[in-house]
Amino acid sequence: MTAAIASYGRSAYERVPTKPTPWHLGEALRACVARAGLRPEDVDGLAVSSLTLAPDTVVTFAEEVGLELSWAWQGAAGGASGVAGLIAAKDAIEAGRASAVACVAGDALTPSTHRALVQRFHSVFTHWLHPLGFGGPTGILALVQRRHMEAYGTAREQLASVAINQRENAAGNPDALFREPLTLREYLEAPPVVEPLGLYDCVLPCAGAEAILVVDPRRIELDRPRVEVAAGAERHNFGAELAPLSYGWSLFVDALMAEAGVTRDDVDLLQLYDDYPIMVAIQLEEFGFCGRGESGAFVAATDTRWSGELPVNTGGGQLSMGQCGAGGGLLGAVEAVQQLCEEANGRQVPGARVALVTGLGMIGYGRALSCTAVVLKAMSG
Amino acid sequence: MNCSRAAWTLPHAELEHLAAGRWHEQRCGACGALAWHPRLRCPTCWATELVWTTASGVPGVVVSYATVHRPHDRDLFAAEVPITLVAVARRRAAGVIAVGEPQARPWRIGEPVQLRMERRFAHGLLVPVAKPEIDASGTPDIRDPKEDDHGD
Repeated sequence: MTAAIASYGRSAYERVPTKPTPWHLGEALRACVARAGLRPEDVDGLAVSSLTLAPDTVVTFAEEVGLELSWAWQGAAGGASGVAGLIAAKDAIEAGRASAVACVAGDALTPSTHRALVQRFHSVFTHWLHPLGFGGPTGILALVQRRHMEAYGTAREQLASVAINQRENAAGNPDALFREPLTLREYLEAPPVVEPLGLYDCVLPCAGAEAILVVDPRRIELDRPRVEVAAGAERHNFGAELAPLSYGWSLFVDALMAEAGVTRDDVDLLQLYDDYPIMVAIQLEEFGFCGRGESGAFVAATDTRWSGELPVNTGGGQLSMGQCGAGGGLLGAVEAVQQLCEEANGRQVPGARVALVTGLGMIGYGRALSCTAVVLKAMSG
Repeated sequence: MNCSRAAWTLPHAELEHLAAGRWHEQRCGACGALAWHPRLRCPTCWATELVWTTASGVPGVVVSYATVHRPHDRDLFAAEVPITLVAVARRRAAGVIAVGEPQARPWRIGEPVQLRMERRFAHGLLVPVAKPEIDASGTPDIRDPKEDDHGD
């Protein structure tokens, strides 16, 4: 038996939060369960990823929304948690520990509360990077991008394509905070944040939440074919290098594809964790869509819009939606499920059957500590 | 000195009475590993006999660099930017993220640097600082950072 994704949901994103984190999580949960045609009491498993839920937890949140659970999980991998939660939910379903697991992820953030969060994100940031004025995750990713630029000749003009194409995708997504076209000139002339990263390389911290419902199809009757979590993998604390150009994905990409029974050519769309365009580029190398070091030229030459030859982040990604904290790590999965259900009106990839969805999180001492990925497949019949 | 006590709750307490202008780090008393950042337990062998060692400076090679214009903490750093971050790889020791000593010319990946602890910024805490090593001709000696990458 393979776990099935029955539904997805999202709260309305807010650029300036008027509602707290649990409200957004609850709204995404409600929308997701309602879309599946299920009732709250049908949910017996819960996976929550949030950076601002503390002191509350998945269990106290379950009490808040009145869910009695046989299985509970809480994300610990920042932006990699959303996908990690999907993997955990699939495992829980397939082990018979729950029949309907709601995966929810989100936060209510502003740029200033995000900066405060960064200072106490984890003890290494607080003690060994904050005193350097390091610029937060943007400082670490700026080190990564500079290294990529100098090692391979990657240019900002090339990486701009990631942000520009995703913004074009967002034009078809009414949920995105940023839907206006972004020009190369605007991208290049934006104020530097941490050089070589400028304003349009960065996501806007905002409020929102994402949700996905994973079920045991033998125990929960679905009214129509949905989506299968065909394979998943994660790696934490890979390597030791500062500003690495290779990540934990490279260790498991072949096994992930084999487990899902697909090849790269079968993948119809990619939802790559896009905290910064450089990480989208590096993931294209990691997953073998281009050669090592070739991603700058590749993103500049490839149409990655939803209508293009290799659709990437078809809803606009976090760069266009805004980053609702840990919700940004489930955003790609929600978009992928929408696409595979052929419900991505205004940006539907024709005949989408297979999606690769990734997460990246817990930026630590000079590198991201967590990499996650799942392959989602449309279920036939 | 044994640092198994305070690194988690008061991480700078061990550092703060050490001298500025020198390099300080923990060496594992059991396996000898040099694992920057300071911590409670050797991440190589899990021994807790971590001993502070000191040197006038230690060498490394620039892996990457970046320039902070918009700090994550505006109260502390708004008046300090631009700040250059330098990622430094070391031979047979963990890499270090340091503040780059201000200089007129651009930083270069592969150039050798010396690492020391200095008191920088209004908070006055010791932070790692990287300063280029320039030979007599005034030309930095560019090396492949991979050659110095964490050794064994």
